[in-house]
Amino acid sequence: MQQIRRAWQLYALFAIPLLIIILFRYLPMYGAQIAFRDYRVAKGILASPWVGGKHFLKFFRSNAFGRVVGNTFGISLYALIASIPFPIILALCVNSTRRKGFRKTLQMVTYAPYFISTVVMAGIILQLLAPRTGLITQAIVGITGETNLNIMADSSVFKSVYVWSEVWQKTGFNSIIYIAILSSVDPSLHEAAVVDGASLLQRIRHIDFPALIPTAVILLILNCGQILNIGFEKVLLLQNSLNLQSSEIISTYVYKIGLASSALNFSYPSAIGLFSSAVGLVMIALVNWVASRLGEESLW
Amino acid sequence: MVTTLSRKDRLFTAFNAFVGICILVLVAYPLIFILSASFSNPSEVAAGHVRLWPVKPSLMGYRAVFEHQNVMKGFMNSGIYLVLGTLCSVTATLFAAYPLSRKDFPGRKFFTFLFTFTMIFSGGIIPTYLVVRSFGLVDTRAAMILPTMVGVWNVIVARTYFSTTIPGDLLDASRIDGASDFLFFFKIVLPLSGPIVAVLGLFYAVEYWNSFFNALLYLNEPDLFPLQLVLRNILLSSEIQQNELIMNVEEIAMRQGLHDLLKYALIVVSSVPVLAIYPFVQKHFVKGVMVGSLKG
Amino acid sequence: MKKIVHVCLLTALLTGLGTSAFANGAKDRGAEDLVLSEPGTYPLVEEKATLSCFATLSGTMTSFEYEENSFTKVMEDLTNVHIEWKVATEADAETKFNLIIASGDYPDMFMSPKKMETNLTKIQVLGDEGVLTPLESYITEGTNMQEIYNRFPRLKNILTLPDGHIYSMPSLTGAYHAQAQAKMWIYEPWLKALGLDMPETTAEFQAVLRAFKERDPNGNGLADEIPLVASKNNSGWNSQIDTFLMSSFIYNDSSSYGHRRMLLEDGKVVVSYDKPEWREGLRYMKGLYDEGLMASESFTQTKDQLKQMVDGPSQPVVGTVPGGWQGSISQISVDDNVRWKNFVTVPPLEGPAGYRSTPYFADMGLTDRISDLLITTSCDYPELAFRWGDTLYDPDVSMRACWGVEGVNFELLDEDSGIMGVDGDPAKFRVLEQPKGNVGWNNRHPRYLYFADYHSKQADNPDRPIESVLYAETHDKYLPYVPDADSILPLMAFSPEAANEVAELETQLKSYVNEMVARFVIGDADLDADWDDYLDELNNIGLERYVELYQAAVDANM
Repeated sequence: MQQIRRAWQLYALFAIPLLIIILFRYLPMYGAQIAFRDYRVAKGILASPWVGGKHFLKFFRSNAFGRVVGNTFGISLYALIASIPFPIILALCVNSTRRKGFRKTLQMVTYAPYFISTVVMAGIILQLLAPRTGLITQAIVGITGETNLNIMADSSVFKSVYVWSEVWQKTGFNSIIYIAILSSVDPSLHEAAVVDGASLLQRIRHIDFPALIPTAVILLILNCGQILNIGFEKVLLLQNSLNLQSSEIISTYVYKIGLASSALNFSYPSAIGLFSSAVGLVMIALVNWVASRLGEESLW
Repeated sequence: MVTTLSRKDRLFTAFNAFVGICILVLVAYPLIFILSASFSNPSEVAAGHVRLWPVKPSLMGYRAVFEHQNVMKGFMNSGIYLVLGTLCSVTATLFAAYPLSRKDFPGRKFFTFLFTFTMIFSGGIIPTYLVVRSFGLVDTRAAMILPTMVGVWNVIVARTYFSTTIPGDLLDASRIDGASDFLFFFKIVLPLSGPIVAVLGLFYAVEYWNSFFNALLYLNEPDLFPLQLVLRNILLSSEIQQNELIMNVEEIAMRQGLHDLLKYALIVVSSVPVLAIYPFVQKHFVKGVMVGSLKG
Repeated sequence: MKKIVHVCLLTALLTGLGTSAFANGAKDRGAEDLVLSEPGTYPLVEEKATLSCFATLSGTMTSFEYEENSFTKVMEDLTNVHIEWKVATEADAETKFNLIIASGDYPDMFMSPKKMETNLTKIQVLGDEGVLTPLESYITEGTNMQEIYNRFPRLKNILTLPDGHIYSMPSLTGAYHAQAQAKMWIYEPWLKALGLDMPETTAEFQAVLRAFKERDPNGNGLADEIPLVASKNNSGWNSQIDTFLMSSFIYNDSSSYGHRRMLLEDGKVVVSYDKPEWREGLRYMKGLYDEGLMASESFTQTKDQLKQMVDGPSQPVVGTVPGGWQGSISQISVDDNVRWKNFVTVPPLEGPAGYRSTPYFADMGLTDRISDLLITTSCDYPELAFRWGDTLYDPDVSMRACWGVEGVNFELLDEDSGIMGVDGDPAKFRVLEQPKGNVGWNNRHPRYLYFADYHSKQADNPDRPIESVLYAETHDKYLPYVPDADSILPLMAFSPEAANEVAELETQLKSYVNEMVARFVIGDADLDADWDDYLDELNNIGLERYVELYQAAVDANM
């Protein structure tokens, strides 16, 4: 109790953000029960009939469940792993660049793709991978001599197309936090290392890189929570009948059902969303536990 | 300043530069394409004639963008949301992250869990809308800022920054000097937090600039629409009419023409503000921020 | 202690707030104490009344407001009813609509919600849920809607739901050519250059494609011709590969209205994609693919990429391409691109078994927009709202909304003006300047512009003679081959329970069938070895149950 009194100033700082979180995140959680009810618009949430796990079971039993969850998990995991090293590498590369002008240009250019909207991005991807005229297709044909190459028709490479285009688009932006951290590394550490005769590479390995690890771990843990939450827009634009086996994910599936649905079924997507969240929670807890076991910074 | 480099270091620097150039080229092509497309004649773009450089250079696209009433209104609105929103959000985030970074903050683990739980579970779109509506915020600018003012992700990142870059000794030293938490936070921690404040500012600025979902949910008044909403409407308009029956060929032609005309110029124009912010943010990524902090 | 009390109070307050937030938002209907004018006379009320309306901002419009939109001004001045607009952008209108419904916070009227243009079931559901007000009591003698009913009794049958109520006001528009939308276009100069006749059978079509590939019709010495190419599912209006070709084997309506690939035979629902004829159709398409006559992009490219293939190269390269109209296959909006002018349609081909059909939109003009105005239970003055919507059916008002101001945007023509209309008869009016900007509501509202009276009667644009070509091609080549109107599934409503089930089944079936069409044609799946597995999977997904549900709905609606 005394501790609380002593820390009152910290509480004062904390009050406003806490209020916002409670009002706008926790209060609405009341409504998550839509997933457990047959939500009837006219009755409102509380008066709608309670059906327990009906919607969840429907999803688990549906034909699409296995494929859709499998694809979502697969793409997510792939994206998660692929996107760890590159922002770090880029940040280290930028930080080690001596010419100020080049460094600024590199940062700016890699930062820009983040702002390309999904629609345009999908259009560019399809253009680059077009069978006859796409630049990437032509490059691959030139190297391997393969004829009639239609990358988007191949469901086994869909995940790669998605993931690497994400890496391309987001790495620059994601490296910013690392660049910021590197810039707050105590230069005296570097000076001391130079005096000890360390090369640039050694300095990066022993000073810069460790500074980034705590944040990298935290970001990894946070990303795990979103594991089943891949947005539907980009995937929907890249989908076609031939790659559907790999490209149908939870959100595109829900989207299509919603479109086709003549009934007002808000409970079903709500249940699916809750399921995705639950899986995310398990993932976070798991990775968080592993991280704390390994002695790294953890979330809780 | 480090003076002469060893041979190993020179090799490394050269390699580093090489990697940098490769990245530059890889990333640059599509960007150049978009830029070129925005300065080309729209029908050439739609016919697929634009590869690297502008074809039949023209400013038609840009002219159409600036003449489009809703685009300019959207610009202004997005600007307002960006400025107000970023100010509020950065402040709130720092106020949340600092206490969480302090090991002696009672309830630290509990509050952290409280916050991060909301990243995984949410009430859903409909309940959130109902809550916002019950506060009377529908069709207000506040609705664009308040509900998402605190980004828990950013709070965690900031917390990590504080706990790894503000040494415990610093706090102890200030305590000995009789400083209160407020003083420590405002007079010592904040000035040392240039990089993280810059990063938060950037993240939130980008988020507010790109946001359209809040607008979709809470705004019914076109005068308040942010740019992204208008942008999406234009970009997706040709996707939309695919299944609608042809009522009027000329009208379709006009719509398609407008879409082609605006598309790339609009992308460039709507990205420029956030791209322009970056150099200002870069200034804060200056080494040696911590120098002098441990003296005495 | 004090702090704990404070926290409890705060929680209680917040919970109380929360509970009220989740309470039902629909208002009770107030008493009707407005005096309305006689049907057909204006203004509708003496004292200015206000109604709220949800509308979609689309096309070249930027505002619905009285001060900025001239048509809003026309309507308000005429009816003396002021509208408070709740606006959604077109790209996200559907989400917004669902949200409004879900939150119980609805305006008095919904004008043409997205994706509900032909969704009778959703109207039924909304009516059941107490969101919409029944309208049948307002459709009295003297109202425009009654006049429409008198002329088109079939429409009344369609709009009246199984529970006897009518909840929506439709638009009567459409276009003649949209009755048969699945067209295949062929580059005519190549037929002429090679001395070939228009193919009438699938075998002849294949021979023509072969000739295109081998005999260099564009005369540039390169074998760069692409005999046949299409666009992927969900991208492009009727420009998918199977829409036209499969119709020579079995009925295949894969348009957005249909997307069901079903027919009625003696009142029984029959699906097409599990039949031997479907397999034969796939075999034919596979043959085209294996011979290199069908470009592999047909399953993966977007409609924009398709158009680029047709328009982009300096020499024409594409020989045949499916599409709902010329704009599906080429950029018609660009003045100096005239390649599309040389494309004509291929008539539905006769298959090896003698079958010849084309997807048919039987109730064109009546049922392509059935929910252009919905009145909600939030509305205190539903009859006023109905009459307001009814005003939009007034021919002058409809014309003003869609074609603009007489003398400025269009002019009426006499019989003997010598100018021909789209249907080949003397035109009734001619467009002078396309209305754009805020001079209308972008056709998302009730209109009475039945295509035979208007769309077909406008003077064709001599610089862009698209409409007359479409009319003629549809009339001469396609309509002779449509199936009996009785065999086409009518627009009908499902019960709410069935609707949910149908939605999920339909999504999965459609996805799977489309996927397998692609895989069979490319050869990724074998038409002989894997056919039974395909049929099994259809049953796994629930094909039987799906047909059952459809049959029940058909029986209920008859």
